[in-house]
Amino acid sequence: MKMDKKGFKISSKSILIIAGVLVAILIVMTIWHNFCSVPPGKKPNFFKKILACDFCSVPPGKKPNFFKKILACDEQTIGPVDTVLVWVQKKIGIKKTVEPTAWVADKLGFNQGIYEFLWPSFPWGLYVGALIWLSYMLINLALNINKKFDKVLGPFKSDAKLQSGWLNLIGGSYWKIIPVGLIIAILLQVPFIYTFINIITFQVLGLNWFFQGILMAFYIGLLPGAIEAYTRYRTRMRYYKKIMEAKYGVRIARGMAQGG
Amino acid sequence: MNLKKIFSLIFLGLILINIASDQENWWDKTKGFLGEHVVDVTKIGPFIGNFFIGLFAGLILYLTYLIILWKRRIVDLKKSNKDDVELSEGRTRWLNFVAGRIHKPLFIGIFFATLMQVPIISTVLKFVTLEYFGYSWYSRMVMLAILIGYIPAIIENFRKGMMKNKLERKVNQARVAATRAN
Repeated sequence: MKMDKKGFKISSKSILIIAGVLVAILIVMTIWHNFCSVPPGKKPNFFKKILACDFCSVPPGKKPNFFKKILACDEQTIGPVDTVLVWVQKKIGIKKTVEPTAWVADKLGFNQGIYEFLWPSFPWGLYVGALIWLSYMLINLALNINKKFDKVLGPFKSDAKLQSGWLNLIGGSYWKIIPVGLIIAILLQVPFIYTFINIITFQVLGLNWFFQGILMAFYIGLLPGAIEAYTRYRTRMRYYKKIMEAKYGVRIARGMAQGG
Repeated sequence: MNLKKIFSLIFLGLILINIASDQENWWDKTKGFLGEHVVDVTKIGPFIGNFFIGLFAGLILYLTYLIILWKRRIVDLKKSNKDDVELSEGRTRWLNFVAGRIHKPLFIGIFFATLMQVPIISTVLKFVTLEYFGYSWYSRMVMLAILIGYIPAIIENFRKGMMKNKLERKVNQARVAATRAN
């Protein structure tokens, strides 16, 4: 399906690629879950080991090996502050003890390792990138429809081109899904940015990754464009005010000259 | 081998591995997993409903914008010159910003439906669209259109009117002052 002579095309190939990526992510997640559920009393099989399901389970009394260290599977060590606070909690009689500083560090994103980078940060980033690319295609389609309307609408030709260069930059082509995914995954590794992204995508309020992705795509893909459009709107309003003042300025001058 | 075939093969292969991994109840597990991690099935219904509310609210605004635009092009252009009409197009500028293009209603729909999934924000949105007062979906749709489109547009027009009045007053004052001086 060709949209524009200037070069924008929505080919069936690209649609197929993005659909394939989304379906693959979904299926890999499903398989991951099915593989990783080891029944109690049974050992994980070969596939489960490959999928790193039990890489992180360090048996009690043993130290994590090299691979486990690479995959950030280190046994969580409790710091002195937490040791004291857990002791206090036990003395009070709380059965489910919490390690407060470890909990805060986890929430701030200090425990993000390569394992978290591969799953779920990077696939989620790809999903966000795919949504941005889809919005770009959608907006282009709409603008092309608007172009055809312009012939009917006459003298007020709308500026039927993608005004936001930003969306073009980050979602202009399907290969840009990968860099966007990578950048998001890298950002999620940084402690405070991780928390910030979780807050703005409302993970703290219990939103799941599907809707979080929509919000994230909105923030990084459409919000800059929306801010640009709003700034344009404000400038137009100021322009309108200036024109009106100039118009009335002439009338005031005329009134002062003529009187009555 | 083209991409279509490669994807079909990957897809089929993944499904086969999935089934083979747990022959007994793989589908139940998958459904459970989807509900737990991907999309809660109970949330899809409200999401689609809210999406259509947002979409139709956006479409109402888009149609309003088109009607005003067409009226201006057909009626006003015959009466006055092009510059005046272009200047008065500022009346629809908020509507242009919110729903000036056909893709904007779609984004309004998606954004509204996503926000309705967030616990506290959904309560606020339900409150402002009067869902708590027993409003049905079409009333909420109109309410949303009023909130995001008409009320800001009315405020914009009001501000423009105030500005014009102010300038008009200045013209009158100048005239009166000039008359007195004469």
